[in-house]
Amino acid sequence: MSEEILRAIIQLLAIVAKEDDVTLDEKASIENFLLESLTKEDTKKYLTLFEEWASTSTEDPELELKRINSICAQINANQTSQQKIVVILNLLELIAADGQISQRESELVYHMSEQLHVPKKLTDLIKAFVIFQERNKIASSNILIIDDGSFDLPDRCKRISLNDMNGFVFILRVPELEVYFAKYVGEDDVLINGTPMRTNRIYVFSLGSVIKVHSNDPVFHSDVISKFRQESDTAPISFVGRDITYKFKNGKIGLRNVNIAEEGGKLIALMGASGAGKSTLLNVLNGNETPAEGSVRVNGVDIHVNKKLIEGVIGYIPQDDLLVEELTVYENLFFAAKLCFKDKADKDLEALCNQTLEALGLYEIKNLRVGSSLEKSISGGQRKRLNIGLELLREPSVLFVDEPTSGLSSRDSENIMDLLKELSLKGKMIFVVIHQPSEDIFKMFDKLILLDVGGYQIYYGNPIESISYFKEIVHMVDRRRNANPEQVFNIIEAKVVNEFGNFTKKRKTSPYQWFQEFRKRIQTPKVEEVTDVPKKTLNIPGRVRQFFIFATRDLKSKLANKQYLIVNTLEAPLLAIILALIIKYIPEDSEVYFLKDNLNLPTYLFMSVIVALFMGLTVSAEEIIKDRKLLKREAFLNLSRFSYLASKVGILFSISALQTFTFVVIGNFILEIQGMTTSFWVTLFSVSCFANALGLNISSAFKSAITVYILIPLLIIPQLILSGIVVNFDKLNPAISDKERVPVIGEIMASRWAYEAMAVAQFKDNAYEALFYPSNKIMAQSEFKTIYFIPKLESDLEYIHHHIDGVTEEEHHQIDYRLTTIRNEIEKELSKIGRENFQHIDDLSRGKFTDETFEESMAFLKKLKAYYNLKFKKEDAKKRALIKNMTEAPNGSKSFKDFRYAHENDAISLLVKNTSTEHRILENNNTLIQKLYPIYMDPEFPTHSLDFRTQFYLPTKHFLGTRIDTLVFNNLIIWTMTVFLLIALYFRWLKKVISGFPRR
Amino acid sequence: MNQSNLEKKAAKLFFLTLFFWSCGGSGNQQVAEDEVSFSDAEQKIVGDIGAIIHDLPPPSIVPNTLKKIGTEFDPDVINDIHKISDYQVNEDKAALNLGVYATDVGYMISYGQVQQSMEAIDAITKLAETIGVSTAFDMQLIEKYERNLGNADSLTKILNETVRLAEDRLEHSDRLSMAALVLTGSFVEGLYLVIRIIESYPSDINEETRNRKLEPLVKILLEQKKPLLDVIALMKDIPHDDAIRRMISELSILRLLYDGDLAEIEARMKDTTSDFVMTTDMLIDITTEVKRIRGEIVE
Repeated sequence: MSEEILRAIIQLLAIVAKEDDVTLDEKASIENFLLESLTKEDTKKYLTLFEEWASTSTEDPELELKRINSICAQINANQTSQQKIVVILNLLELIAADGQISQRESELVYHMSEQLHVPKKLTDLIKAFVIFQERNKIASSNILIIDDGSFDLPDRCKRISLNDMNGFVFILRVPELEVYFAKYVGEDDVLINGTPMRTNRIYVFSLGSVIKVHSNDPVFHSDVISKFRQESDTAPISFVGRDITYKFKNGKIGLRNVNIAEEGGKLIALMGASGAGKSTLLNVLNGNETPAEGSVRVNGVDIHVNKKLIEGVIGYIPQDDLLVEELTVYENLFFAAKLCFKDKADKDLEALCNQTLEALGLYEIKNLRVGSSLEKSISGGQRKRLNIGLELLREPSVLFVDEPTSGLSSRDSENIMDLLKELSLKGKMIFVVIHQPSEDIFKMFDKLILLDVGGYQIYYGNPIESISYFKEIVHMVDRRRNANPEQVFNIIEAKVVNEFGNFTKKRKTSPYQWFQEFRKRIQTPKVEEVTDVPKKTLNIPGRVRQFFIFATRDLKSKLANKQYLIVNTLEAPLLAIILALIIKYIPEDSEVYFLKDNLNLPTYLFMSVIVALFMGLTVSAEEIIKDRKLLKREAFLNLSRFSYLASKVGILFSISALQTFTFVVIGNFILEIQGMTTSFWVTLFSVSCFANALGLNISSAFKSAITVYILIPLLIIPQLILSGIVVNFDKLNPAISDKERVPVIGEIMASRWAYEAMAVAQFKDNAYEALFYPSNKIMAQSEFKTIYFIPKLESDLEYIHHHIDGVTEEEHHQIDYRLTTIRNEIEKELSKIGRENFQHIDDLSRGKFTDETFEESMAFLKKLKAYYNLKFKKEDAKKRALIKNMTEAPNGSKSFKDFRYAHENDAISLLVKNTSTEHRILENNNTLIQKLYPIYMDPEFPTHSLDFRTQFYLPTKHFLGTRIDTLVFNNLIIWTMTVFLLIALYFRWLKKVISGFPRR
Repeated sequence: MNQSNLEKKAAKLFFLTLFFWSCGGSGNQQVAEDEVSFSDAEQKIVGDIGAIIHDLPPPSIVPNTLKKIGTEFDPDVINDIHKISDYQVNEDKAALNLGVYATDVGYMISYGQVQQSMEAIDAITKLAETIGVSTAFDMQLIEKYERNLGNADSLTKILNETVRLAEDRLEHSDRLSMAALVLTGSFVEGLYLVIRIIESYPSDINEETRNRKLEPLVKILLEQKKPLLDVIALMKDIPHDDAIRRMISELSILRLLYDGDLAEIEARMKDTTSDFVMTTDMLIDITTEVKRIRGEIVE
């Protein structure tokens, strides 16, 4: 209190005292008031001042009134409501000091209280409190009487009964300000906070205060409060933890026989040394962990057995930050609200959020971005408050808070504790794990649970009492009651002193010993368990709505991050421009660019696949890691992980679609690739989505972002190598390659399917080739048959014919082998042209092969050749006719040529026709394999209905009896892989595999 | 919760796949129906016309001879390589000009113009693709060619073998008209080379020297009669189409000239008694005709 104010107050007192002469009692009253806040010397000084003022003659009433008003104004500007009430109290005490209150005195006081904005009713109440000395005179719900219970309790008053008490204690509650005053009337020795209460003196009964009557149990501030709060607005809750024992995964015991029993409306502290098990206990009590033995029951419901019944009753605020950095304070709260209250309209939620923000003191900053801990927009204290706010929104009946004050300034800490205290006063049960609280905060708690190393419960009771409890055990002399928690820990952890006078590491009293003392001295109270199932304050929306909420939240947060937006939208177009411009090749002797001559087109296709993979992976790699803590909370609230994942997938896929679209449009435009936009886009989109799913998997399985980013090359490089263009599939390590088809190791690479799809589409579906493809196909196949296939069969037959009479083992083997091959191949041909065309197929075995067989076979092969030649010529004629048609017009040749040059590409044609291969025909496993012109082959003889594996660059694939266009089929394969990855994501397979490598 | 979700997902996937199949499956009828039946083939066994083809001179003969008699290399006579894009539209033109370029390559090889010859080989490859014998002009050929760039003889051999192979393939695929066109083009180009050299012979040198130099050239020209007749005979034997017919008529004109003027010149030359002086005017008819025909081919 400043000097000025003190003077003002004394002036007021003087004015009032002047009314009748200043009696000795009045003086004494003033002296007491001054002594409460000043030293003896200063008291004397001000007393003299008072006497001076009191002795001045009465002035003009109007002037006096003016003076009173100005003094009151001064006080109003500087004192809180609580302080002003104390002023009124003192005024009243003063005028009552001499035993009577005159009319004038009364008038003055009422006037002053009016000026000080203290309501009349309150003044009345205080007046009554000050005056009355008998219990039956006041009837108010704001009065509590402590006595021996014999007296008839006046209407509405509360009572605490104690044995053997002389007289009574009045306790007045000022409800708006939650200020309490106590007054004792009687002749006994009643102590308040250790000092004796003088009759009729009014004491401020503040937080942490204690009234002790004889040998009775002390009456704590919280006891008094709970009496007043009995008709609280919350339904009753009971919380019982019986013999809780918890074992960690490695077998060590975390908690031993912890017992708790509480009723609603309490603020309970959980304290202990590091490693004592506080967080463990918290997690067991809130249902996150299941105890090995014992039970935790809320309103009789075991929370680990009947999880469903308890859903939404318990709240948990962990130490971690659960905020979405890019959103504003308001938005964070709003989305949390949306996820908690399915039935409330947006307007209601808005109101609720604003209300909560005001209560938290965050209303002014509600539109500020939350930011990260590196990029602070709001202070640490504000962050903590917001975190608390997320749970506060729904006011759960039981709330667990983990270290709400760590890292905060003392002011912020007090603010937060005030909040929690408020909640507990409303009837909620709040458990707080706290470390090194200040004295003031320590006093706020109703109960204290102390744990020692190893999970031993060593204290359970009133916080203030704990100090004397421990002091008593160690027989400390100084039993003064104070609220310094440091003292408790000093005692608990006191170390042994060795013979040199130094502290050793060994403790004087082990945790087990404290535990034993605890068992001896403290009984866990019995609490009547409430039978009603506790009310749910949580009403989570259905999965579909959750999906939309998650998606909106994620989208908003992404849009708020300007850097992210810019990079992601510009990445693809930039890459496309760079890539396309670099590879836009024009041959030396040409001035104009033609698609046909661009040798780099295969590279373009390949690089676009890689770009899609990279973009897809990097965009998704951090997604789940970022939200790790949020997810924990959402799991706790039983929100749907499926909806969350679905929303992530949805957003990432949309980003992929956008990026790949811009890439394709720009790249194709620069390189003048026509008509391929849709095919390329669909393929690249599929690949990018595949990469998204892959990225989400690693994001979900690994704990740090660094690990994920290091993994990315490991995932991309195999895709790069085995895409089919960097290394030819025919030229791999023989151990992994396959002559007849793409090796397995290539089949599992999404890049291989994507690149093949695009290359095949570009060759086969471009406007020019599409006109001639069917004819070209037949012609190419005929060419192959007549130039390679049939001559090979013929030469084999000749060999057989010459060596059929051979006797060596080797020769027999050769003949058998070749005959089988010839048989197989002719069978295949016959299956296409009709079996009746060659009758001697069964003679193609060593035993039955004769000269006649040879002649017949050669003749057949000749016919076959002619057949294929005929086909060739027919198609050739068709093609020529078509070309003639198209070139008939005056500029026909030129425009045809331009048309061709704009759509065809030689480099791709070279690859898909495989004309550069060394071996156009291969022999393997009694079959002849065509390596030339894969683009003109169809998969003809699959081994079984699900066999879709073929060589690279085939135009169609077989599956379940039908032929599917490569572009379609390959994309379906990529999507199958993606779906598989998404399923693995949902069931966390990767995470399980990784945690299967235990770290001991 | 999980179960029913998975089922829903699986069902969705299943239907999507079916949908795609129906799209992919139906859009797949690009394969032309087999219009040719095997029985048709049985009637069409081709006889052995191949023998004649193999007797015709390879593309390197004329150039080699030119080199031997000591004429100089004239780069202007060679057909422009950039014209291939014009030939790729029409198969007949492509075949003819393939022959033309083959002879040009022979010419370049003989005179050691290796770099140019590589470009021409490249051109030939493209034309080969157009007429469907790209399998003869593949990477292996090109590699082999590159390996022997220092050795004119090897290159010549490779060239001749390749052309032979191409013709062989055409023959085996029963595309004799293509083969014939290739040969014709090669032959005409050979003629063209000779008459161009003759034509461009400098007129300001001593007449006697000139005539002396002209004679061997004319001899080469005269020697082309047999191949001409063979080519005409070949073309008459194979199925006629427009291109063949045209060529036959063109070559017939040449034959007339051979039978007429050139026969006379030949006789005169053989007659050592008379003081026969060869002049370019005498050859003006044949020169014009050959130029015309060749012009039409390479246009």
